Amino acid sequence: MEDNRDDMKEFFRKKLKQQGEGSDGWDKPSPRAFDNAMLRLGLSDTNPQPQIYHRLAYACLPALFFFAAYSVYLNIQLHSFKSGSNSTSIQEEINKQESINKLETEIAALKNDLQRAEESIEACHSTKRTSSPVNQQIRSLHNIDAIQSKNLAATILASPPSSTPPLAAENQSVPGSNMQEGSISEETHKRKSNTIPSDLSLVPLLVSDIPALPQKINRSFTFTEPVFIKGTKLKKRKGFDYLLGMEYGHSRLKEVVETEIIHTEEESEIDIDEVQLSGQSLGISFAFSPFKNVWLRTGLHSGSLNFSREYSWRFFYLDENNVIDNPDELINLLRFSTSNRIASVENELYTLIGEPDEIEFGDILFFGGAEFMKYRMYQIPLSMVYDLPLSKISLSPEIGLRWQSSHLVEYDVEGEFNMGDERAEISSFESSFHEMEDIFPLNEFTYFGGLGIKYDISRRCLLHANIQLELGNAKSRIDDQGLFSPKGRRLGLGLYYKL
Amino acid sequence: MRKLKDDRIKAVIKGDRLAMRDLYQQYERMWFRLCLRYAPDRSQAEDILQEGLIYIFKDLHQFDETKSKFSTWSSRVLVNAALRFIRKNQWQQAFEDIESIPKKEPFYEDIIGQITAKELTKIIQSLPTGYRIIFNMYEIEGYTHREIAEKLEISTGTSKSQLSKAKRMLRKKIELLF
Repeated sequence: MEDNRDDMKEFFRKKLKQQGEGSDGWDKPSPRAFDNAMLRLGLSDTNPQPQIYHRLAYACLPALFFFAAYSVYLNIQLHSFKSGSNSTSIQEEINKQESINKLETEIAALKNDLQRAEESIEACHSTKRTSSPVNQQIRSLHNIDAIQSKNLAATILASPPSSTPPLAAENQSVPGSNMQEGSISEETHKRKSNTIPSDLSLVPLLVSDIPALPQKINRSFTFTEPVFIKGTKLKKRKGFDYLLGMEYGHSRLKEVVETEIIHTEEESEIDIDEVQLSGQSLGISFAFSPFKNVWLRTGLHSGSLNFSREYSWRFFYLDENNVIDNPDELINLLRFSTSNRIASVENELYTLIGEPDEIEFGDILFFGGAEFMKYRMYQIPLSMVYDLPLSKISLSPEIGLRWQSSHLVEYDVEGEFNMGDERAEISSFESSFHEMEDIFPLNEFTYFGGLGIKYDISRRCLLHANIQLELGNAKSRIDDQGLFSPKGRRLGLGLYYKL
Repeated sequence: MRKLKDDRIKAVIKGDRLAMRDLYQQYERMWFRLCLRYAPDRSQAEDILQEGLIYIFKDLHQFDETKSKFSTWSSRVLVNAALRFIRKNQWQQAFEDIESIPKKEPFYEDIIGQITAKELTKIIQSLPTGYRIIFNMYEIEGYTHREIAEKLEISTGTSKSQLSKAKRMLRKKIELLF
């Protein structure tokens, strides 16, 4: 019997070892098996591509910072230049002011002269009361003084002289005038011929009109001087425009999670899943525009990332994993660990088996459950935005990078055990223990590009909505996953105030 | 010759991709035949081979050539990979059709003598997972029932009974086909 068994064993071995020199290749695997194995070992020919990509991305990082610094430098230079232009304008302004002051001094002197003339006229009035023909002459004199003042003011104002009717009293004969009157008339005439141009009208001008003159002069310089207007415009644009606001972000990210089901100390199996993380963030954002339509944007955001997944595992019931083993009570321990880029969590699940007699060594148990993880994250984005204005709306393409620090803050698992054929009653695990190992923040740079829309709500407020595609570059902590670049997308909505 | 082989293994341990390909090309048929016997079809056999290659290249530093030949060591690694794969994917169906197997069937040695390696492999592939594993481990790889019991975490009695049933089913299939 034993010989027969050995013969059969030998027969099978011999038969299966038959190579068949003219084999049709049935025992030759496709090249895919080797290539995939190399890929998973991180030795694929295609593997260097992501490394080159990440190197390029790293090279962009200092370039972006350099650009930001250079922009600030250029703007400082531009600002200095504008200040220089303004100083020229100020010097010209000072010169004009000096001219005005000089004119004002002259006007004041004229006012004094006019005052004296009025006093003289007053004296003449007193004479008028005694002699009516003389009064006529005095009135004429009054007109002459007024004309003198008018003449000066007109010169200053550079206004053309009005049509001038001939002086009424100039050629009038004064019937019935005596010797005294004749002397006055002669004196008055002499004075008239020295000071009064013949083409000036005798429009009365009051002294009270004079103070308005400097203002008129001043205003005329203010509104007609082109250099001064230019300087005023430059003051309006100070060189930078600033925005300060709040931004809310909703992001989705793909992540690899590895679960190791530990059957015994020597044996375990590994399950790798790609999961979807979703998260929210809120923070302040600040932007400034070094050039027209170009914005550099940064901020400080905080938020959370969550993921949950469901799973179903099969494993063997092993005596050696029993924590309590007696005819009435059987508690079996299942251990598994969950790892991702950020943390590794060790789980111990204790299973209460209600009917110990019904379960045997090697029986297959099933565990169906769900896992939940929550990360806290902090972000500092730095990006360059270019505005394409379309009336009140602007399209805003954007590129940048985001420093992100995240760490695991919460973990939970729930589920239940059962047997495929329900031979033994198995309760859900009575208790579980999670040990969150190596919990430390994962700091990484994420690169992103996106497109946004800006809408001017008012002169001071604007709304900015954008969508970004992200690419991370942190190395996975899962051994056989190598360099894993999480990819994701982010929707942002911000309200900004123009400073 | 011995020296050259050592150098190649050292090169593989260092991560030399060319040495890995060289080693793979030498053993690929032997490894794949093993995988074909454990898998129900060619596609899954390739998956097992892929898993096994990763373990072979990663754990090659553990290989001690004073204790075993490389072919023996690598076969053991592949068997372990096959068991992991099957446990993960199809262990649930490992014991199907147990009751449908006739208790006693004649074994026609003259018939089996006509079967080629390819045909025999296909027949083994068609066995239920549990039978296929134990049959392969015991009859082809030469594991003892104790070793099988340890590997599969079952009792030696289970291993023996499963092997017996596997052989009966194999005979039945050969009878039907030939």
